[in-house]
Amino acid sequence: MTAGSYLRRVAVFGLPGHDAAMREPPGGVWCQPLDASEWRELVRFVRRLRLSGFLQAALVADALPVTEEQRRQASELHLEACITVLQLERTLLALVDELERVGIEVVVLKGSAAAHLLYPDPAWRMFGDNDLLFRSAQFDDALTVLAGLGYRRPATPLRRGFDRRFGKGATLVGDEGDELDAHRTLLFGSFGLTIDLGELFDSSVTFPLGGRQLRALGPEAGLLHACYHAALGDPEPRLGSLRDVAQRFALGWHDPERVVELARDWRAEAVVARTLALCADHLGLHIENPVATALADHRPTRRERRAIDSYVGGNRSHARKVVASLPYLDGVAAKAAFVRDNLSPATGFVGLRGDRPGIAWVGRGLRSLRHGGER
Amino acid sequence: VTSWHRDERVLWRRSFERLVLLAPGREEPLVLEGTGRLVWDLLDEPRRDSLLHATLAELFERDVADVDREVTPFLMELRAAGALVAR
Repeated sequence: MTAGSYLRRVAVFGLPGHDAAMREPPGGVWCQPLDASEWRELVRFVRRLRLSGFLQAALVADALPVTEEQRRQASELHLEACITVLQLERTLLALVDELERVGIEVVVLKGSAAAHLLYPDPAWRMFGDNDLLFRSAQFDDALTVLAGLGYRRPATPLRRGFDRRFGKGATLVGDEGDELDAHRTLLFGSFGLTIDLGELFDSSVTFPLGGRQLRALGPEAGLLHACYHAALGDPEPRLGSLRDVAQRFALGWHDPERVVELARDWRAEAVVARTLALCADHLGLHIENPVATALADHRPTRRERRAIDSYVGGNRSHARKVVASLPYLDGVAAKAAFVRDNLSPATGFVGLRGDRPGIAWVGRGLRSLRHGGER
Repeated sequence: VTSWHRDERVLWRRSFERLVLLAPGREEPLVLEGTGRLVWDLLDEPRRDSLLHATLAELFERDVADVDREVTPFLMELRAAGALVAR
């Protein structure tokens, strides 16, 4: 038994059908704990992928073999992660209080929202930062409020107004070193440009935290967001992100017809199809659901393949995403503005990139553009 | 004190046999184990003082008076830490 196969069982623990996965492979190998070196490897994975909550749940249920010492280590790992999560939730409450006090609408993405809404116990779902979504029209005001609370932006925006029009958002760092992702949309580039941002707020739901109600994405928008994150977030998909998708399907909280409708409206069919394939490949889960029936066999077009490649392919440069985004923008004026704003960085943005950053940045952009154009 | 309940502003998680909580206004998390965790679980809804003690006495097969003597200081400590509210 290897750390990798053990980890996969950790990641699917508690899903319908996980018992079948636990029985494989035959021959009683699953009755034995991992040896010391495989266990160390597992702990590294669990810590990096923030899966200690699922490991805890599986061990508490006696669903996986473990030695006493390994159980003790898993317990310490989870406790440490819980303390981080609680501190992040305290910060989250303080931030939302301040933002809403001045009339800024906030929707919590992933993290705490996923933990409280999707799982039987929020202790299953660990996270390492807070993600907040703002309306485009309030995005700059939100950043101003957050700056007043000590959150600085290491990289300045590409161009004035870029955030509100095309940007995904900004990663901010607080005085305590905590990271906060301020979002205007769910992702940068092609697939982020076609999302109905109003829908994200209009269909939002609430979850209880610390004696108050916070807003989160509704079931359908939340499922699509989970798909974007799982399918396009990293070249090597994160097991935790795939688990969030599988968990949402297992919950059955969403209206399948509405999910398919949104996926088509947002031109995200290929993203959903890719997510379902990744769940099968990486978690061994073959999701059966009307959404899967409608979209799993979607054959990506050349444009969709190029767009997906700009997120998770060999060349994931900013310029590559810009080129791949153009077919997703309506009208020549919008395309021109998008290219101009993306390839004419403001001084602060360039200043972060080396001694003669302007030239290097433009050169890289042009090379990537040419490369993108040839494909 | 006639009844106890959790302060709804407390943030908490279960972690194996322990329970970690962050009370409002406190920098450091509190970790509860054993009976402490059990008391927290029993207070998932407000409980009268007498009923809480009687439940614990039954669970541990002890006299209510003994439980009262041992548990009351613990409850007071959690109240002082901002985790519980007494009414």
